Amino acid sequence: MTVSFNGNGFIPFDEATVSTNATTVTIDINDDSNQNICLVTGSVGPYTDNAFGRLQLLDSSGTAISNLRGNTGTIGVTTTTIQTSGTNFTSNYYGQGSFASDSQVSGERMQLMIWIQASQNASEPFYDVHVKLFSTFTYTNGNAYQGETGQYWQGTAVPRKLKFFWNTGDISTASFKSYILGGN
Amino acid sequence: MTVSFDGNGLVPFDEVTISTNAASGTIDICDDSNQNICLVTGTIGAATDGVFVDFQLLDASSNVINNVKGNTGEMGRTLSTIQLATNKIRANNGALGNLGSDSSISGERMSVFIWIQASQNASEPFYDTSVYLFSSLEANNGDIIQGHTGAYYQGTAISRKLKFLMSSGNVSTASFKSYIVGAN
Repeated sequence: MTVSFNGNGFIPFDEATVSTNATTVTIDINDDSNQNICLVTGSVGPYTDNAFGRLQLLDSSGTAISNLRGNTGTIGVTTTTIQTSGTNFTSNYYGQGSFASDSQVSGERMQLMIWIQASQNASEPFYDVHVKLFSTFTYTNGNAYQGETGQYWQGTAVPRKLKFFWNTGDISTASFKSYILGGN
Repeated sequence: MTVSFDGNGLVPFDEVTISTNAASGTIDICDDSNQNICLVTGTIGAATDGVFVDFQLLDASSNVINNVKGNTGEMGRTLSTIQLATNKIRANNGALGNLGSDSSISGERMSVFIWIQASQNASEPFYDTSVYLFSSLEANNGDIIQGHTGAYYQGTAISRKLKFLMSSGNVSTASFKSYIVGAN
């Protein structure tokens, strides 16, 4: 699909909304290996208390990319991180609360800004993929935290989609948009 | 050079690829003082184990800009930071490994998103330059680290290029692209 721009800025490349409980939500991050830099923004609420967001990069066949390398931390409150590897990566360091996640202005939700370098073509035999996820989320005790996840991967598949789900329970509501900013 | 946009998003303003050992590389971040906000993305591997990745701002004559101030920290591993030398922007707080850096999917590398405010015209007699660098890397002990670097510079030279090199030894492979997203 062609990336387009108008007087309001970049037009969303894809949008995904969950208005009633769903197990997962998936959004397109490109459909061409000439599309490289993508920003995914949005918010998501859990149905179950103390949940951790899980994300996967899917290739063009919908298969989750494995061998990811990364970690998840939180700013200023601990000197430890969650080391992540394999297929799933984690968006929040502490468990996300579910109190009024989709019914109150002050409801406990998680907001995300996710930068994705999807297919930086290099002379080495890899598509260098890098994901940098910034989250603001509300812990079950009501405190808000800033989370950060960095993931990188070198492989021969280009990630086309980003999939989100909770480690426990459903997504109550979610709203995501993707914007492709840079090509190859 | 004119910034351009096509059906895949912003066209890279510059691209640099290193496929065999090199002492350093340089990528353009602007060539006109009306170009201000630049995003540099990419990945880099080290030929030597346990090194730090350094970036330098260069002016139009490719002279290194001095009097840069800033620091580098890392997410959730230590409460200490590295105060930057006056002419180097150090990207990692923990040393970068080089195991399989250019030959393995799980090779030890660093991936970065670097936001640069190159020439914000201000009322004071300076071009205010600001650099914010987000990195994901594999340390030489196998841990994944997320680094943060903030650097700024006030002067009368405009930063035109970004140079990258290792604290010791060569760059094994690298792929960087720059995108100009905002003007003055």
